[in-house]
Amino acid sequence: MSDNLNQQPLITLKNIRKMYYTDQIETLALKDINLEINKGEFISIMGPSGCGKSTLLNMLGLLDRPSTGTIEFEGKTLDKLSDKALAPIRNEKLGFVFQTFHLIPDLRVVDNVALPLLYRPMSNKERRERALNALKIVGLDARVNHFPTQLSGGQQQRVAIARAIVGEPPVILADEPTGNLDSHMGNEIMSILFDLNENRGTTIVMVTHDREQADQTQRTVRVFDGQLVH
Amino acid sequence: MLSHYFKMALVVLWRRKFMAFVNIFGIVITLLTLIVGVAALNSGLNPKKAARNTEQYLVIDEMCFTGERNTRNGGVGHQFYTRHLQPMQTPDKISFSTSAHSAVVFQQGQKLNFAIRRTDATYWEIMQHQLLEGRWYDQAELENGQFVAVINESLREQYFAGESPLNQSLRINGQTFNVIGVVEDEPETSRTSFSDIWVPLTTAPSANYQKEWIGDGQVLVWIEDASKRDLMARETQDLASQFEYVPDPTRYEQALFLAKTPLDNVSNKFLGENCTNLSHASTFISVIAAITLVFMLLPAINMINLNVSRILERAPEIGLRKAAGASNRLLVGQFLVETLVVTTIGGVVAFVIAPWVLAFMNNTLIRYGQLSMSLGVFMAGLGLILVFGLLSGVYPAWRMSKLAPANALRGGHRHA
Ligand SMILES: Nc1ncnc2c1ncn2[C@@H]1O[C@H](COP(=O)(O)OP(=O)(O)OP(=O)(O)O)[C@@H](O)[C@H]1O
Ligand SMILES: [Mg+2]
Repeated sequence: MSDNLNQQPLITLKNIRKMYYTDQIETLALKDINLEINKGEFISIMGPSGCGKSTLLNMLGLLDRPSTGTIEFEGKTLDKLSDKALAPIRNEKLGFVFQTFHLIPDLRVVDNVALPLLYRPMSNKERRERALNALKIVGLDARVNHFPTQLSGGQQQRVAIARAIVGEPPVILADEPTGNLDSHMGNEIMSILFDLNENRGTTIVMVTHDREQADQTQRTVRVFDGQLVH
Repeated sequence: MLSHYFKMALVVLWRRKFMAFVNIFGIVITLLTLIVGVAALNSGLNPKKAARNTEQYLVIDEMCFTGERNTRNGGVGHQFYTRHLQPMQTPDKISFSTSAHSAVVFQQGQKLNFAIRRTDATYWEIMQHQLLEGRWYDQAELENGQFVAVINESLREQYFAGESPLNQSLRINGQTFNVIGVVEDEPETSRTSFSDIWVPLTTAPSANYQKEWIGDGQVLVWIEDASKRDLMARETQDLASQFEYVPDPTRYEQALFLAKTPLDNVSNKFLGENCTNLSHASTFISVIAAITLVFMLLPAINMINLNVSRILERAPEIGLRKAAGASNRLLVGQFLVETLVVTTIGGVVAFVIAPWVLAFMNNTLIRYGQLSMSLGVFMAGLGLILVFGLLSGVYPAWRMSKLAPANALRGGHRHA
């Protein structure tokens, strides 16, 4: 942390609270979270199930608005930004691997992977080439024209990872990216992430239950009952 | 981007075939309802054939006698016609004819059913039937009670096997007529001009009709100068006040009737407003508009329902696209294209089917029908469906695109 003192953090969470309201119950999923993510870091988030890891990742990935508190991205406060202003940030700066993949069932694997590129100005040919390349990286170049339902859980996860990296975003947020993979494939994915982090300077925030994986990262953030524990 | 949306729309249609089918079916039914409804209304209001001139031509076919304690209504009786209507000053021509009755014609032991109408000679001058061969009967033949008949082309086809029927005889309800002319078919919906056989009024088996005050007659009025229609209205009012029911003047004191344009005629009949000298055309048009709306609304509501659930089901997709950087505008654009594609397919199918449906109605449901499709109505219907599609397909997508991606990904349930 010390070597980042005079560097501006990439993402800053200040006093973040997140309440969920259901029919009867209110859940305070995050309580007064303060967290800084610096450029080029590889951070792991650990904690028991239901403690708020995914909620926290949603905040960092600008996928949800906090109930109170502010989020800064590259020094800019975001809570007053419109969706229109957030869209290019999500598109260019952030790659997200969801815990439950979220592939579009109507689209073939290659089109699922190319999705973030769809919202960038480029030719269809280039989109396809880049998507095929990303699929090659995750070792799925033989399943290009399948539909998501025709893939195993692990294969779907790799499609989701390919989609997160296809646009070469400076930040990747991954929610248990190896949760459905065997240790061999898991290691493969980890080495892809490490490669992106080391050779391209990609900032990575990863939720994991795997202590070994967490130990390999530069910093581990522990969450318990919606709070950071030190 | 557009090509992606287009491809996406087709993919979605293809992968959700049943949904797509129901949706397109709804659109087609809506359009067909509209097309057929308007075609029927149009042929009722603007008959193209014999009764075509709507400005100069008026009909009296329903009237009502009212007294302190009694009312009676029905068609025009011949006695009322000769006493009160025939002497009117404003009409340039006035004619009395019966409505179309059923007539039995035997052909080689086979019983055929046709429609027969008894008319005066002026009928042919006011109506403008297309004469195919021969001639109409004239005043002299009417006065002499000559057994002459004009028939339509369908009867010529069926009874005379297409040969010229002129000077041939035709036995109808026990009377023998000499065929003197053939006219084009008139659609059954055109109440004043339709029939298969026309014969002089004076050939009626009994002269009882001459005593009738209320009967089954229709009176056609021709006013050369259409601006004199106000005058006509005043004259009929005067007439109502001078009315005297000779058989028993205390029984009925007033004769209410309206010399109607085709629109008034259809309107008042539809609304059951016969005992009146007022036009209910505007009410009629609003009622028809309301009915059409309801009929269109039923499939439309179904479509809206379907669309909304289709969009809700795709909430995760919307969330995902947002997370991948789609702006709200692009998302709405995607669903716009999908709606346009579905509407276009529905429109094309309806456009192809509509002529068949109308042909079926013309050939099977309405004798000698002449329903035709109006391109303007078709386009208006398509426009309306587009509005419904946008409301149901694009509006929910737009609402959902306003959600935070995380919420949409979870299925679009709202959270604060
Ligand atoms: N949409 C929601 N509505 C209501 N409550 C929610 C919602 N999402 C999460 N929660 C609640 O918020 C808390 C944190 O959930 P979250 O998904 O962040 O946990 P997690 O740490 O990611 O768990 P896991 O390791 O099982 O994925 C949980 O108690 C959960 O029940
Ligand atoms: Mg989670």
